[in-house]
Amino acid sequence: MSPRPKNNRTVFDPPKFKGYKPFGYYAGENEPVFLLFEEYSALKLCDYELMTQSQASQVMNISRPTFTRLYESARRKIALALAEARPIEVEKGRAYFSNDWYNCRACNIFFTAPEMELSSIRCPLCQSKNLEEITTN
Amino acid sequence: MKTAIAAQNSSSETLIDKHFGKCSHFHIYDDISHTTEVINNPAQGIKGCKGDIVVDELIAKNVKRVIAGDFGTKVQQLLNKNKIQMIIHPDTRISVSELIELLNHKNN
Repeated sequence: MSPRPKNNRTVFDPPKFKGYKPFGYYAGENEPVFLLFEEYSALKLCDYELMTQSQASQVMNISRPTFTRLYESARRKIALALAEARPIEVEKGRAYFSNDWYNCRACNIFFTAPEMELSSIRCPLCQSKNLEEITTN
Repeated sequence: MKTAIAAQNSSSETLIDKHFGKCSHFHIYDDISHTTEVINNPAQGIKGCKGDIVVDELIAKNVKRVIAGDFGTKVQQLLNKNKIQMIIHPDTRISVSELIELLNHKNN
């Protein structure tokens, strides 16, 4: 019997980085730890926006126990990266963005484009069309 | 189109604020008349979630675009519902006047 498919986790804003690297470690580069978008989001909601786990689970459209597992997985991955001096890379998991976000590669900003046609979207600051669409679907 | 920039104080040389809801002033720039209006953050000093007060005030001012270093989750839901464009500028060392210049450049 195949396992039940995972529900999408709603994520609001994309992480503003592609990863983290340790410095001052002389043993050479280690295998990276892959942190999922939704794990980053869980950690941000709980420890940066100081929501309770039950409030954060409602925001992400998952059940409270699922949220707790996700949060624990995020904490463990970060602890692993710190303890073993491994770089962290963010990766798309089962995250579903509530907005379509665009990243301008020229000036490194993130923006949404409500009620705009895909072909007419440009960076609002530098007018560049060199955009990366951040969606998982 | 009116653009609200979350700023650390009322001067035009001030830097943009890291957090949309917690900033002290909003600089509202109108790119048709090229004027800037500075308003206090109506929710300053209120503890807890203050997104609804801020968003109501900005809708009353007819703002269609907001710029800040970061947005909270609840305020993102409200802005999304009201079809207001959000711009996250991760580098918060940019001043309000520099941003206005960038927005202006677009019309030329």
